[in-house]
Amino acid sequence: MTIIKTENLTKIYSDGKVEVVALKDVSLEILSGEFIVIAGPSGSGKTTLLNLIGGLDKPTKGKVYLEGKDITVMKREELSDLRLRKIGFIFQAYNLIPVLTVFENVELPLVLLGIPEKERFERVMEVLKALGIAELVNKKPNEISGGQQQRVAIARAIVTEPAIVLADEPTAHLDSKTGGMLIDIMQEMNQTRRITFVICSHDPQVIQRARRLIKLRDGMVESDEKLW
Amino acid sequence: MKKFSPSKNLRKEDEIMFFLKIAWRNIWRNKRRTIITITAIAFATTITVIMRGIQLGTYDYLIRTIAGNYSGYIQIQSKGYSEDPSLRKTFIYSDEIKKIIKSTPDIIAYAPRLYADVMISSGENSYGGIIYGIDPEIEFNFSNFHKKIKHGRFLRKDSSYEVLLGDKLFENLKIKLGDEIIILSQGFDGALWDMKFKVVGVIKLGYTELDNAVIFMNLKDAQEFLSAENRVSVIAILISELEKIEKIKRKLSEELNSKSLVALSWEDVMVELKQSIEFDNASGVLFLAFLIIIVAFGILNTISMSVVERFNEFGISLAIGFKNQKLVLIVLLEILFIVLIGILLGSLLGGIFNYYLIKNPIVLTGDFASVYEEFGIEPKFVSSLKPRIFINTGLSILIVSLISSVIPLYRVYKLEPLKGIRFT
Amino acid sequence: MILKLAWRNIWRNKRRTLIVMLSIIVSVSVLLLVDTLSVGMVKQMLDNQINIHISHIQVHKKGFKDDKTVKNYIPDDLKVEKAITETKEIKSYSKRIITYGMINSAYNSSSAIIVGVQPDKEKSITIISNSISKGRYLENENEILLSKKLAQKLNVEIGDKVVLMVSDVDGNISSELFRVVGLYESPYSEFDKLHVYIVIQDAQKILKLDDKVIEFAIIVKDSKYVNHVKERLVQKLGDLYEVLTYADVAPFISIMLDIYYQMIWIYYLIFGVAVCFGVINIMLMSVFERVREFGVLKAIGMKNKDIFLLIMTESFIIGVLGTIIGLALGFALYIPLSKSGIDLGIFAESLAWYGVGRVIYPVLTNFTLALVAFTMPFMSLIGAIYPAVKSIKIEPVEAIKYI
Repeated sequence: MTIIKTENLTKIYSDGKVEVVALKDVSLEILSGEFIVIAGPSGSGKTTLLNLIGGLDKPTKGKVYLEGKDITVMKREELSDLRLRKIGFIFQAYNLIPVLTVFENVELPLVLLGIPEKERFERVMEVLKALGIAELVNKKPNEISGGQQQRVAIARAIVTEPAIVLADEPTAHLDSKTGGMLIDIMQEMNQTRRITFVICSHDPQVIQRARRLIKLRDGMVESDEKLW
Repeated sequence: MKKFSPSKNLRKEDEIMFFLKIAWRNIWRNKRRTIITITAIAFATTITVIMRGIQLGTYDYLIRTIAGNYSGYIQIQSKGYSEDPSLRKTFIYSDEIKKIIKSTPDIIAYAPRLYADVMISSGENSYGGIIYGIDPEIEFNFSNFHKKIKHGRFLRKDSSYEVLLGDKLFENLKIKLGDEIIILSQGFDGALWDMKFKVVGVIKLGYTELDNAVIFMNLKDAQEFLSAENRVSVIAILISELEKIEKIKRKLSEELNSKSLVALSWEDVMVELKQSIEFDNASGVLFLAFLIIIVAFGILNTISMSVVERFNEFGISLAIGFKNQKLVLIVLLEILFIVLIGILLGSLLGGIFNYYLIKNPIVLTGDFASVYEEFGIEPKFVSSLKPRIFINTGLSILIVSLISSVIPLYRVYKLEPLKGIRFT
Repeated sequence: MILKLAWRNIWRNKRRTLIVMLSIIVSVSVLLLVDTLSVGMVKQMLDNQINIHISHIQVHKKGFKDDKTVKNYIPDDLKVEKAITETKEIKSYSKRIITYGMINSAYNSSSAIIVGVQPDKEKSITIISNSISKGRYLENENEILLSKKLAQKLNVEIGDKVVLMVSDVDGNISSELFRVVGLYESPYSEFDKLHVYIVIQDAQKILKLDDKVIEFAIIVKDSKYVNHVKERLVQKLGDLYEVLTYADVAPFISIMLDIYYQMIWIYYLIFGVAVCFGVINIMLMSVFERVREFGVLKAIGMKNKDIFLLIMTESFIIGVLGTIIGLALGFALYIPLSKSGIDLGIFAESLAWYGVGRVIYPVLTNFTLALVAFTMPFMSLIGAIYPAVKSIKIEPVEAIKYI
């Protein structure tokens, strides 16, 4: 089933005088269950593409369809709801709310969805256990390591059982061993829970594990191949 | 794993609890800043509560002593007396009038009085004076005149042609207690009369204008001397609660209308006092309003800083599906926490001070004292614990704080996820 | 150097600095207006008293103050006149007779204070001649000038007749008929209720005083000479006379001024503390943001006292700048107000009762200017102490950790 479809996606930044074409005419389809890595040198448009797919930004030209719906014409409220239910985000850093514990951070989207306490507890613990961080429940973000923080971010992203999880350079601030463990666990989630992952990275460890690798250069798709 | 949407109420409650948790923890992220801000609010609240306490307490005190003694809270007069306070505008103190007064609930006491401008002479010296014809027994329970005797004694029910003189008048006349003086006046019938009276007491009201001129005598004597049989200038009335003045005034006015009489409140009769109070009140409110505005700047700064520091975090929250309104709600809760804690602390401190002041009024000395005494009031600082002090103070500070926070809240409302994330 | 650094530092976070400055600007301009209006009110009360009746200095026979009878007339008025004309600081003077009595009209009677004056000289002493609301000032004998208020009470109009009753110098009641030629209205309603004017010759006649007078009222060229003139006159006139300044005659008003001085600093303090909180907040924030910077500065040898001074200077600049702008704003409001005054008509009756007058003009004194100028910069310094202390407690090693 097609989760994401983009048509001639174009994003141009202009400050009045200079125009920067971040993305040009990108059309692709993402199917459910895929594990995609978008790679490319800095400035190639990876993050821009991710933001557009995730509804965080609007394209200058072109369309993005999430499960058949055109998200480029959606209003702010609708998009927000969409991101809550259907999309999970993992950023490079500062993913977590500092004043909330690990449990509360993961619980947050479920609270916003109106899910009752008992069910929230079950789902959060389940996801924390799956990610091997169950013992960190009551710790605050500043009390755990970077790698553990990113795992919590993954937990939060998947606890809502989203259609797709978007990660922007998730291993950027981690050492290679931790980074490796992180991408492994993302793969595990992808396989056990059939959650679609789209990851932007220039980390070779990440690119290695891609099942489908989309290479971008100067805002255009250079190559798009299934690796295994 | 099943997903179901429970009833909206449960969701709202849960969410609000969660937000309260976040908001509460957020304000303690920067302990020092929060404490300083709360202290500033508490300071403004305390000062406001104390100042308003003293102001309102003093007004009540002034009204009770001045209006209570001189004009009464309500006064019955003949129509036209206020424009022309002469013997011509006196009225007959009939039984019907007494009945009407007695039938009115909440009236504690009523005192008939007869006033006249006269000339008083000790043989050597003459001065202008004002006769206050009073009923001594009634006045015992009505005013505090009897407490202000400096020498001699107060009037008695059976006093006949005895007078009390204001202390300055007594001094000016150069007489002793027990001496006789002559009072000269135009009576109700227009004829000029004079009569001898015996000075049995000297009174110090504290109000210079009166101490210079007042001559207290029995109402009956005044009526006889002034050929104003059974007539009075005013009936001063005390009621149980100041709040009931308007109601009782209206009732009396209606019932007395047919006799060409009106009922006025102390505000109508003692316009100067009313305006003095209003002026002081307005000045106080204005000053405190500016104080609150100045503290509001501080709140604005604190909230602005705390919001801008978190644009990153807000951006990410928005990205994962937090709606802007909800972020605004959280910041709003933070503001409410800070402001309400400050208000509560300040109200408590201020309230304790006011309570202490009520129980132990500060008696003034020196310069301050003489100003009060010039106006015939005991020189003391009192306070008040009227609820409206606390309610108005709290509400004002709350409203001003919210208004001053509009801009940071708006910025949160308009924040786009990417802008927040990329914010430095 | 520190000044330059300090100046640049405070603008690093424009919004924060501006908000605190705004609070200072508001405080300063409000304090300026409140203070000048308060002073204006008290001064007006005093000036009104002086200009309506009591003048700067009064000369009587010794003992008149405590026993205001006509028997205490001035023994040798030529001597007093000579002493007055010899004193060059005196601008103008007038002779008066003052006595208590009663005024009767066909309709009513009232106590009165009867003032016998020399119309021409009295004009240069008081404002009553300029406060005629109907009719005209006194010119001839058998004329009487009374207040609008009193006329209302007596129900008389211009042209009506009234009778004055007094106790003459021998103690006998004496009365005379007068015609109302004018009605006056002063800013002091309590005064109006009692005082009536007749020409001095009529007063002398009715009191059987021949050519004697009771009082000399004196206006001095500049109020700062008042005490000096009093001393001169006391010297020249000796024990038989009493020379009273307005402060002796109406001590109440001077007390009001004292009270004002005692109370006004409280208002400055309250606003000052409120501003101080804001200053502490931003300076603290600013210090903690620059922890790394201070660490580096100290590591390369900057002394503690310089960093302390830096923080204090930053705060001081904010205080001074805010005060300057606040003063500018305050003056922008003060100057037109000092010309036009504020009409407080809704409080007219109570203001008249105090003798203030319904239009209040703000008055700027050096004392006020000093207080306004110094308070906020001072409070800024106070508020910066804690943050400044914190800034020098930063150890270089700890700071580098933050990098």
